Amino acid sequence: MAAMAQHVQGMLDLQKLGAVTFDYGNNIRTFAFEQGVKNAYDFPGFVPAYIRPLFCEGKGPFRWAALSGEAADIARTDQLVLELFPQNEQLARWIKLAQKRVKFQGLPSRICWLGYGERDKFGLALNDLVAKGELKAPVVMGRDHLDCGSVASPFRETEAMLDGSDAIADWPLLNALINAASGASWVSIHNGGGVGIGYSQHSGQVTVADGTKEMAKRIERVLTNDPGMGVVRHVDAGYPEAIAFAKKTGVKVPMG
Amino acid sequence: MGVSIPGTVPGTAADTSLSKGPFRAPRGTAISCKGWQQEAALRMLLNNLDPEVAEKPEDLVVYGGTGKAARNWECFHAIVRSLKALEADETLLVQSGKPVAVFRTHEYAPRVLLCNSNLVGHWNNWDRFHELDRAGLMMYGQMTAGSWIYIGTQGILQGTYETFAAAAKKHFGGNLSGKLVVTGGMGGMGGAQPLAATMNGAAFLGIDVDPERIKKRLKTGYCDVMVTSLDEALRILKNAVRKGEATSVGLVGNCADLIPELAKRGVVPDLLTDQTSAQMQRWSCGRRIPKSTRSARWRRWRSTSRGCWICRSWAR
Repeated sequence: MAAMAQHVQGMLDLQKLGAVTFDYGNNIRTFAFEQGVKNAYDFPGFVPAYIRPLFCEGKGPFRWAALSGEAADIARTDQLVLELFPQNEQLARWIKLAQKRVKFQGLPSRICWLGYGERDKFGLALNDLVAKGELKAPVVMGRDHLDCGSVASPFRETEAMLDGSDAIADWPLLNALINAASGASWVSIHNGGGVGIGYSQHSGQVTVADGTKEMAKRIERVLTNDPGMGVVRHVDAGYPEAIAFAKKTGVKVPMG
Repeated sequence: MGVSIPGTVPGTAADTSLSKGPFRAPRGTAISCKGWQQEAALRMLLNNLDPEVAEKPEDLVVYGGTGKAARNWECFHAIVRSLKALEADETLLVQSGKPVAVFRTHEYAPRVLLCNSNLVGHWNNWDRFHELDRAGLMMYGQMTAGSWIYIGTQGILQGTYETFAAAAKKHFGGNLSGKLVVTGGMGGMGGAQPLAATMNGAAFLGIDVDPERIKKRLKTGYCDVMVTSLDEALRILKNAVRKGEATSVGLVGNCADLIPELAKRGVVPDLLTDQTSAQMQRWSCGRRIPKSTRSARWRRWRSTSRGCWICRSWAR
C-alpha cells in the first residue's frame, strides 16, 4: 500500500478506536481515496468541524499593528482585550501566552479571533486610546482574507457548505463592496490565495484608528458590517448556529 | 515619540529612485504623507517588505512562495510616490500591484482600492496567469501580501491555537490538559502545532521525517524535546498525560509506519490530525515523501520539492 494510504488507514483505525480525528487542510484524505482507501472521508476537514461554527458568529483572524513601532503600544492593546472581554478565558489565555511566546516581526502587532459585536467594540475603544494619547501613534486594524464572510475556497474555507454553495464567489465580492461603502481605509479583491489561481476568491480590508471622531464612525461601520458578512453568508447557507446568532444580535437578513 | 529611522522610506536619504531596499516601515509620529490614512498604507506596504517579515524582500515576495506586495520595483516606487502625494479626498487604484489611477472621491472613502490576480472564469488558471505575469501584466497577491497586511508567522500559531481550542471545547470540556494530541508534519504550516497544543494544555506528539524541521522548532521554543524512538516518545507522553502536564515531543519518523503502529499497540490519541505537506502531490510535486529517509529517492525528493509553492502558501 502506498505511504499516504497506509497513513490514512492508520488514522481511520485510530478513529475507530476512539480518537477524535480531522484533516488539517492538506488534502490527505483525497490522496488516500485515490490510492484506494474507500472510506478516507470518514473523518472531517478542520473547517467544517471546528472553524465554521466560529465563522457563523462572525469570528475570524482579526489583527492590528502599531504604526508607532513601539511594543508598549501592543502591550496596551493586549490589556484592552483583557479589559473588554474578561469572560472569554480562551482569548485571555491566548493573549497572555502570546505576550510571552510571540516574537514581533516588523511593526509590533497582535492577532486574535474576535467576532461580530466584538470587533467594533474593540476598534472604538482602540480609537479612543489613540485619541487620548495612551498609544503613541495610530493603529491599523485588518484581517486575513481567510475570514468568516470574505472568502470562497471550495478546497478549504468553504469546503462542504450545507447548501452546496462552496464555489459561489459573490460573497467575497459583496464583502469588498460593503467594506468600501462603510469607509475602510483600504479594500482589496484577490484571486487564488492559499490554494492557487482559480481555486479561491477573497477580499480584505484595513481600517486605521487615528483617534478622530470621523474614523470612529467608519470603524464602527466597517467592524460591524465586515464580520456581519460572515453571519449572513452562513445564515444564507442554512447554518442553525448562524440563524440563531443573527436573531440574537439583530443582524438584518431579509429572507433569513 | 518613537524613533524615526532615516533612509528606510523610499525617496529619502540615500535611496535611489529604483532602490530594491531593504526597506522597513518608518516608526514614530513624523509622517511623510498628507495624512495618517495614507501614511498607514505606506507603512504597511513597507512593513510587508521588512526583511524581518518578508520571505524574499529583494524580489518583493512577502510570503507563500510568490505572494508579492507590488508588481515590480518601478511599480513599488510609483505606489510610494502616489501615496505620498495622495490627498485626503483622493483614492489610489492598484491593479495587480501596479498603481493605475488616482481619482477624487471623498474623505470617507477608502484611500486605496486594490484588485490582485483576478481573471475571468474561463481563463482562471495558473497557465494563463503565468503567461500574463511573465508579460508584466499581473502579480500573484496571495491573501495579505498584495493587500499590505501580512504581519509574520503569528497568524499560523494563532489559527492553530484556535483550531485546537475549538476541538477542546467541542470534545473535551474546553481544555486539552491530560489529553494526547498526535499529528504529523513539523515544517512550515505544521510547525506551529506543538506550541499551539501545549498552549491548550496538551501532551503533544508531532511526527516528522526530517529531524532538521524538528530541531528548528526546538530552537524557537515551539517544541520541548526531540526523540528518535516511539517508545521513548510514549514514555514521556504517558507520564505527561497522567500528570496533566503540557509537553511537546517531536519524533523523527514516518507517519505511514508510526500511525498504524500506534493503532497496533492500542495507543489511542484523544485528538489526531496531520499537517504533512500532502498537497504537494496534487498541486505540483507529484510525489509523496518516500518512506525511508536514507534512500536516494528521499534526497531527490528533498532537492526538487523546495520550490513547491503550496507547501509554503499556508502562512498569512
